[in-house]
Amino acid sequence: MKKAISLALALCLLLTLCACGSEAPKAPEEEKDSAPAENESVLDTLDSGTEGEAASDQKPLRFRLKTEPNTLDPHKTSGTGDPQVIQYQMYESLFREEKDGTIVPALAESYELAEDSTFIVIHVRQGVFFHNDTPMTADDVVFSLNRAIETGYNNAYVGAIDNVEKVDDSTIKINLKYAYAPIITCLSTLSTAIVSKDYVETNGDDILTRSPMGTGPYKLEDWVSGDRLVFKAYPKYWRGEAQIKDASIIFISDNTAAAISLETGDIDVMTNLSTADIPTIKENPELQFVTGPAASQLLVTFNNASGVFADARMREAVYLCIDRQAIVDVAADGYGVVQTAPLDSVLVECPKDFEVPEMNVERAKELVAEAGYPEGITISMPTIDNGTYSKPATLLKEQLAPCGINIDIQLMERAAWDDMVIYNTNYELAIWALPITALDSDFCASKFLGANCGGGGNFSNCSIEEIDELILRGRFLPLGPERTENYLKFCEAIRDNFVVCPIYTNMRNNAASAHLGGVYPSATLHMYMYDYYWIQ
Amino acid sequence: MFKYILKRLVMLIPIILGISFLIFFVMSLSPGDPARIILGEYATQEDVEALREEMGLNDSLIVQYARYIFKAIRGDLGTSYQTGQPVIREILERFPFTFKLAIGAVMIAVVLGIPIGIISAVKQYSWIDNLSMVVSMILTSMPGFWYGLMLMIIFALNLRWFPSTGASSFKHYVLPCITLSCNTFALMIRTTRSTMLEEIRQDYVRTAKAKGARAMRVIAKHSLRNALLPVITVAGMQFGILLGGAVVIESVFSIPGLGTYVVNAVKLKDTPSVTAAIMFIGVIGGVVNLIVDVLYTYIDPRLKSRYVKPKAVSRSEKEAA
Repeated sequence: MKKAISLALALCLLLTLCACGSEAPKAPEEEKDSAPAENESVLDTLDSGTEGEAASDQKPLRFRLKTEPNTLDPHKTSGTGDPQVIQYQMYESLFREEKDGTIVPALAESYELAEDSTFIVIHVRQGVFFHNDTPMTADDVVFSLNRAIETGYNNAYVGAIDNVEKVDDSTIKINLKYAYAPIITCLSTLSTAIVSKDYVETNGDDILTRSPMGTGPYKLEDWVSGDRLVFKAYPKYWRGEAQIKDASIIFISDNTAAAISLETGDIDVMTNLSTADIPTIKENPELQFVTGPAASQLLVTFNNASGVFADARMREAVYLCIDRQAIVDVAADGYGVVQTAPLDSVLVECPKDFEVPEMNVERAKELVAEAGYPEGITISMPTIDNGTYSKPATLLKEQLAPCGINIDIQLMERAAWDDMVIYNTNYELAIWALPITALDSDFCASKFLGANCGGGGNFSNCSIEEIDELILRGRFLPLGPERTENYLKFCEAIRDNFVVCPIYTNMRNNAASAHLGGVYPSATLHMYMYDYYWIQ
Repeated sequence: MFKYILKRLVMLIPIILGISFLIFFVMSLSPGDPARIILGEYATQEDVEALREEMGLNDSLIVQYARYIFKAIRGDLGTSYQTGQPVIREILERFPFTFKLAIGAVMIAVVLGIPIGIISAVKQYSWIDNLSMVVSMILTSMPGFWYGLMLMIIFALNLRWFPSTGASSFKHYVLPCITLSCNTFALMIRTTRSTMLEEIRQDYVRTAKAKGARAMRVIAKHSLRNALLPVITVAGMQFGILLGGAVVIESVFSIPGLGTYVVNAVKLKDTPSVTAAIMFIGVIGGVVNLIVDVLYTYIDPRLKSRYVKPKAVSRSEKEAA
């Protein structure tokens, strides 16, 4: 028996050593055998990847994403993340967010915003073609925006639009329900992407689910369900054909497997790099690590309206117990930036060095006792069952225990959690990485608008008149000192009422082949393959 | 035999109905509103209500289930809540990947596991026997994703023999099939060994040996044939399990199979997709079991009498006898 156990352990050790034994990764050039045959399918060509001897600019790009989208219809896509990355390759909106976060005209040639911000006149760009080679017209723009409003998926971005009308063949007018300063940013999101009117009307409203028809730099060639999307550069793209002609987006759900695929050269660029894999990627000269802050902040949220945390003293006690840096160091392996203001750090109005109450466990204990729990209290905390949430939840549990708040972590699936916390606010305390898809403070602040309580996105159930006024005022103010001041007051009001407790800004950790140029981290996942090129 | 096969296939109907009702019931109990999941957090309550009405989610569970079954009888397994695509099309797109994976894994397990099991039994307590037992113990006790990642690191990353992820060529299936076969392989070794140990101690084996039959012939012709029945049962059952339970391996190697499809559908509360996929796996499992039962009759002709009505003997034949 002893022999058997020893042998078993030895085998285990051998296998582990074999796996961990480092062999210098071969440069892609060393592996090249032959160019793909002319009659090979696009898929075969893409699979051959780095093994082909094709010229650098002809080399196909393989971009890894974690999840496959359910639909490619931009007006029927909810949520944030991977679906957006895919659609940015095929679709465009009237405006586009650039690398640095600035918004520039895209399918809009120029525009005029009314002085009172109640309407906007847009001159539609000419010489733009859909992927079926039909030209884009003002009719397509009107149709697309009206369709976006009707679907009801993304009221956050089209909710302010009253109606859209055609002025002439190259001009449209967007009438707003009320003055709304972030309208240009809204028109840069995929929720307002321009689709072909004729194509949808001829083939039925559901056609865009699997057969998109946009004006973007890449045209969808094939969708291998569960595996990949295959793209080809659209030659008539109005900004010029993309440098990389063939590309595919490959779905690999496991982050570690994706990192290995990147090292082996099976993929060229990946998002969602695990923090555990970052050192390996950094050490490999054939790879590059690309990181930057995300438009997503991890925060502790309370149910402000009912339950234990309706009492502000309990919320303050949590504030006083949290060691943000410790959570960043342990839960995010140091890849996060401590956040104190309740606005994403990538937003221009986010106050720098925003002061919050210092840690004071003794005072926290007193507050818990004053709130009626001198012996402490046990709180059930619904937590999404993945490392992004379960790790900080564990740290939070440890940090709150000394003040008498004992957390019982309830791990659950995302959909169940969303249902409980976001849609029904049926919780006491939770952790959430609050994301925004477009860079305007209103998208973050409106989550705290009283009118949005009860299923409208106000997950903290907070309804405070002062905060509501600041949010509504912010919507009318153009970028500038007055708007910045307004949002500073908003942050202070959130802090003073202990509505939520920001912890840290997440990082967008991406990795790519060192031979791939133009890769940058985008806070809002505006990752355009059009900007990528192979380094000769 | 034909009648027997038909009878078994007919017996599948109540089983499938039971499975479908159970899935419908369980999915209705799980938290989350499919309409809200589809529309997202920004949708108004009115939009959510309108979509619920359109999807028929406001009807009672029994009405929803009856509607589903009536459509299913006509060959319409419904459309996915999430993608709006016919569920059967999505299942048929995914099934070949899982099928290839399961077939590959079972073949590896059978081709390697049975011979090793036989050798272990024949050479009981030898170093080969001990080694095979230790290996099978390791293979059954370690999680599949660990093997998967280890094999990926060794053979894809370090040696560069196989691709790490994907499913577009034969080479892509090698590592996932090996990983998936680990448990079944160990099970085959242990089952073959134990059944062979029983058989080689039987009187008929001693008799055959006494009559001068060569050891190899005794094992291959006499013992193995009898020992194979439980082994085939295990292989058939494992095949059924692998069809629905390869989720982790599919996820690690990024194979777009049925397992990941079902898991994603469950997460998104896509009841038509989950119900149809599990019904499909149930039917395939039932058919595989039937094939295994039919195979029995070829391996052990005595069993045929249980399935096939004995031929009526004519008077002339009786007289001749």
